[in-house]
Parts: sequence; structure tokens; C-alpha cells
Amino acid sequence: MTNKFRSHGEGATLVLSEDERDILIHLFSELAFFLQPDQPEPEHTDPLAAMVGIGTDSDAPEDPALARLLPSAYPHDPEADEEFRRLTQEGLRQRKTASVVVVLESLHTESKRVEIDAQGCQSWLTALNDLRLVLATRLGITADPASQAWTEEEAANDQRANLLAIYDWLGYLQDTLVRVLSKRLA
Amino acid sequence: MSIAPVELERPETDFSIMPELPWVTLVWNDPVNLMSYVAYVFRAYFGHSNEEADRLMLQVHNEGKAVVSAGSREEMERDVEAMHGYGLWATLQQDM
Repeated sequence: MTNKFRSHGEGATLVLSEDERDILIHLFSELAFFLQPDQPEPEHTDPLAAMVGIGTDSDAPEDPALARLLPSAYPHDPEADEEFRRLTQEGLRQRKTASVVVVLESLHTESKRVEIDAQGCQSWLTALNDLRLVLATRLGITADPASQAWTEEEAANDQRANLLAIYDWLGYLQDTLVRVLSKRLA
Repeated sequence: MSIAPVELERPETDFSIMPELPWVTLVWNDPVNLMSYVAYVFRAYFGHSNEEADRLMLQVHNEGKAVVSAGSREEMERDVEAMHGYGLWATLQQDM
């Protein structure tokens, strides 16, 4: 896996094997699904609020991976936290989902060469990061180094090893995109 | 018989005229976000120079957190929301 993002006009290109593309489509589809609220949002009484992403969604996510995507702005103030979530969480979910959709659209190409425009690069950048955050939580990669140690039995687990390899690959891919985009910041 | 107060009334502090304490946005370290990505976000969003972005990123990495912006509560909520959009772990609090 030696492919990387390359600068192309104002956007970027990425050459992927069929297998690599399938893996990305699979993972980003899961991520899009994962980002959906558990319950369908009740119909908004205020269409303006719905438009700007103010919702009734004010509960902190129970799933640790989702909690990492939608973290607490006020960890020591539950009331302020709830109000902040009510104002921002639905919009945040929508923007994150929209980025994943852009990524999935660009992956649905016959060509091995994925072409991404300038705006698409931003979507790829944040969606790759969100995907890595979710995988890291599933893999138990946390701020506490002690919890990163896993047993030999776990290390021998093929699924975990595969996931870890994919996680590393996604980090490599993201880093090459960061390099492309960093050069454009004057 | 009334007892005259022997003490003068304590001057009350009028908190309403005290300048509001500034709020700050904190970004916390995590083992997932790439160092290059965190520095990129600080440059792209806050408009920091390469050097300043690297300094803040290293502070997050080495000290566990860094203050990345200061201002009104509304401004800091905007910054925190933007950081969450980038997947950075950000919180806000009043600067003590």
C-alpha cells in the first residue's frame, strides 16, 4: 500500500487498487450509517432551526466512538453541555455525514484514479480523521498507554490485526493529504 | 431603644460592572489525531503561522492540552464547534 494523495490543480488525486477502494467504500458507508441519530428526528416545528441544524438532539452519545466524534464542550457542566449539544450536535452530525457522502461519491468511479476537487479535499480530510477516530476507539487506542497493551491472544486475532493495518494505512493516507493541503496555506 | 450600628455597612462589590472573565478554548491531546493534521487545523482555522501552529500542536502533544483561543463565550463556542468538526477534542471554560 504505497499510494498517496497527490496535488492536482486545486484538488488532488488518489490511485487505489480495487481492493483498497472496496475497503474504503465499506468503511465510509459504515461511518455514514454510524453518524445517523438512533431515533429519527421529530419533525421540526421551527423550519429555520431545522435549516441551521438546531435540533432536539441534546443527549451525550453512549457509544464511546460516537462520543469521540461528538465530544463534550463542557465536561464539568452538564447543563451547559446539554444546551451546547442542543444547538450544535445535529448540525455537526449533518456536516460530518455530508463529508462522508462526498467521499463515497468520489469513490464510485470506474477509474482507478480518484479525482477530488478542492472542496472534496476538505471532506476527505475530516472524514478520514473521523473514520480513524472510530477505528481507534474500537481498537482500544486511547490516551492511556496501559490500555493499549493487548494480550497475545488478541494480537493473534486476525480481525484485529487487519483492522490495525487498515488504521495505520488510513493514517498514512491522511498524512499525505495533509501535506498536499498544507503547501497551499500561504 | 435602638442600637446604632457600630459598623459601617460593608461596601458591596458590584459584580455587574466587573469585566467579564475571558473564556478560552482548550484542545486536548489524543493518540489518534496526527501531529501534522493538528498543526494544519491550527493554521487553516485560526490562521496561525507555521511556527505558531507547530508550537501549539507540540504543547498539546507534550503537555496534554493547550489554550488555542480566548474571547467571549460565544466566540469560544464557535471555535469549539469548529474544532469538533475537525475531530479535535476541544472544550471551553472561563479563564481562571
